[in-house]
Amino acid sequence: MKSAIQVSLFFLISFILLFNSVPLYPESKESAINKEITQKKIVSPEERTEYLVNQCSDFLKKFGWITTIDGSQIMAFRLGGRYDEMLLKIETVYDAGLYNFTVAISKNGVQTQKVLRLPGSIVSDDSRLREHALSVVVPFAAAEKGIGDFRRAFSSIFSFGYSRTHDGREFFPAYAKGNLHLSWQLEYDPSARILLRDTTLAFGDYTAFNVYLDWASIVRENFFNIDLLIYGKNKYFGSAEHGTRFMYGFFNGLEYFRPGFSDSTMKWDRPVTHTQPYIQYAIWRALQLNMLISRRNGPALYSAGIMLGAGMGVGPSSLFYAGITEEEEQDMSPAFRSIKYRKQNYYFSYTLPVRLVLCADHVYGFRFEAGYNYYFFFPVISDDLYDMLHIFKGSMGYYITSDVIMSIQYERWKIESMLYDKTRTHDWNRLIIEFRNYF
Amino acid sequence: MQGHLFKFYLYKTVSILLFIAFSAYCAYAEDSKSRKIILTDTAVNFPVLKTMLDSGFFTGNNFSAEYIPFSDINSKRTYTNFDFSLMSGLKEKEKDGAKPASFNLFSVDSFKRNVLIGWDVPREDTYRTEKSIRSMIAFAEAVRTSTIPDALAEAGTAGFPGAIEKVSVIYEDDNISNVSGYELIVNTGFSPTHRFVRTLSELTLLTGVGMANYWINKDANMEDWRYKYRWKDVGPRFRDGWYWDSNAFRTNTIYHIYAGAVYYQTARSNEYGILASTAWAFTGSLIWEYIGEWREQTSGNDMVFTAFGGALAGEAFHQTSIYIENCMPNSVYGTIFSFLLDPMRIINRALDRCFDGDYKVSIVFINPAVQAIIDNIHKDAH
Repeated sequence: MKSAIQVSLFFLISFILLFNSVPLYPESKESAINKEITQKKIVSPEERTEYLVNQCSDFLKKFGWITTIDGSQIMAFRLGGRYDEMLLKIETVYDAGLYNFTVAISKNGVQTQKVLRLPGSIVSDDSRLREHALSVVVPFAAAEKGIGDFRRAFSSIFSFGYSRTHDGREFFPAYAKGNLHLSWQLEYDPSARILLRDTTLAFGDYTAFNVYLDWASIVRENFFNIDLLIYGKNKYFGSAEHGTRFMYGFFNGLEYFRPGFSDSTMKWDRPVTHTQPYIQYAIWRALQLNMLISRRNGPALYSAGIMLGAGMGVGPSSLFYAGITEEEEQDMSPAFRSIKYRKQNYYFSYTLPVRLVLCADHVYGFRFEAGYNYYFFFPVISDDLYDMLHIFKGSMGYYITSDVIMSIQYERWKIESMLYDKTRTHDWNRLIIEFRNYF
Repeated sequence: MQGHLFKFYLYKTVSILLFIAFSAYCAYAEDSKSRKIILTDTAVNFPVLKTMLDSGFFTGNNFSAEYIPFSDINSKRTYTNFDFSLMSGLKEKEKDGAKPASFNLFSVDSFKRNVLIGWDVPREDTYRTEKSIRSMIAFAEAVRTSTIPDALAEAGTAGFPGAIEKVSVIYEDDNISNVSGYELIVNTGFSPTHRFVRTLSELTLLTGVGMANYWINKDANMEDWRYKYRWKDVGPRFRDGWYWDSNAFRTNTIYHIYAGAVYYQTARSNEYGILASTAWAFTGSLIWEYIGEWREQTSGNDMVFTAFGGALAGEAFHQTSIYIENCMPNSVYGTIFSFLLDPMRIINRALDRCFDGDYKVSIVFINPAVQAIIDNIHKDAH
């Protein structure tokens, strides 16, 4: 009896499993006719527009686009190291037995429009209507390149200026000789254009490259800095005109700074080393955390940024290794041998850099910026020495055209070197006048 | 009583599991059923499909293939119950000094419309031929159960059959809005083997250039020599490990970062991504440290700054180079700046012009009226 129940249960379960997705009875003729009538009914243009907007949005997602629907339009973005943006708008009008679907697309600034004139039989058939609409969207959704201006996610600044440096604690620059300099800054920041509440940023979705070169009669400086995003988040609250952006993430970075001295008043005594820059370093920031918060209020943009990093450095130099003889050097730190480093003043270090920036841009045609850079270096060969560099910056600029800004910047540099409980410091300042051209 | 209940539930559970396993097997058997494809070479002197059939390409890709010689194509025998029909030929118009091979694949879409997918590839390029056939059949399979745009989305995410660079829609008539077909420009890129070999060759060549410079400045470099070119030094050379070297500041920073950037860009211009190119920069640095500078102990700081510093600088220069080129199109200065920042991209692009990797795919819906006429002609002929 029990086994009979077991067998019956087995067949019952099997029966349910086997047939639960199959209709037990064929569709009745009446219901089929009703279904046909339902399919052929005249549907409202608004309902069809809504259907297509949802379908197009889902379709774009298949190609990696991030979409937001606003009524009859879709805002779409695509990251992944190569930014694209698209605005898609659908309007439907019913006219003389035909539906006119106007699909307007703007991809990376290139605009196109297609009017689909379709009879009711197609419009009421979801899959046929969908295919027609997607045929308009697919050239823009799928194409990897060749549509539009990809530079929209880039911003670049070319600067040309003149600077004077004063070696010492005095506040005002005193030397009659100055330097001409050029600098170039390129930033790829597509998430600045994305007004979504929350976007995940992946490898390469932000890069910044900044290089500074000068032709100097006194101090010749070469500088560059690179930031590359590894993983991050971008958040935006508010509208395009009045909103707050919060971007943070882990980065990788590289920074190089090396001044050279050519004027006798700026040189130190040099019995040991050839060139005697106060500070020189090349830092590979293995890991850095960047955070940026910005508030747009009409044309004005207020921002604050912070970078905390950790890495390895070639350099810095030390104030203790200037003006000494080779004999004196032998009794000093093994981490540091200028004779070993081909008469150059540096040691290998671990580095902890910090960068703070505050900026108010386009405030009544002005731009104000203040910044502080801090670097802490200690040697990879363990010894009781370290160096610190502080750079304070402040600048004010005025937009003489919409793209060109004339600015004046003041910088104060301070180095602190420590060796075996003794410290030395050195200060200098610099005044820069420059023109910046925004591209 | 409890023992009986246990047996009851055990039996029930086992029965359900067996049933599920049987269902899964049936589903698998259905899924793994090979697809039938009919193959025809239209050019007698180019039997590419016959060759591929003989080499086991179609069997290996789970196809049940039947080859029909072109001379038999109009015989009275009818061919039914096949999933796809693939036909090869040679184009009359030469490209890059050779007639490209053309392929036509017949299938049906989810609306039961006949679809013809046609494309060309370089005649001797086995990699692109096989890759395109495999991809196009996968695409045609997707088309059978969906629309062309959906199939493109599905295939695009699967790397079909390279990067889709451009899609154009062909309408029968602007007023009617009926789609008659699509045209795609697809870039297949190079085969992984090709990319690997070219990257490694270029890195070796760059190491050679570096070594020439190293030996020209032999006197300056002798200071760091610790080993000789002899078997006795091989063991110590590897056992001694890495150290902090004593080179000049500029050598340890700018020169090594730039070398690493060029290594990185070599890989980047051979279609590798950011991470893979960083790995190549590390490889380039290893080659330099262990071959280029064999006589010196391996420098740890050089390994870090060449590989990782170089990769960062390489990516920044790479993006800047592309940016400048786009800002200054067709400009000599733009090209010079681009070259200085990313020389390997410009060099490899010049090499790639021998074959740009782009090919066109046309997807055409065969008009039912035209299909009926073709069928009637065949009937009459028989």
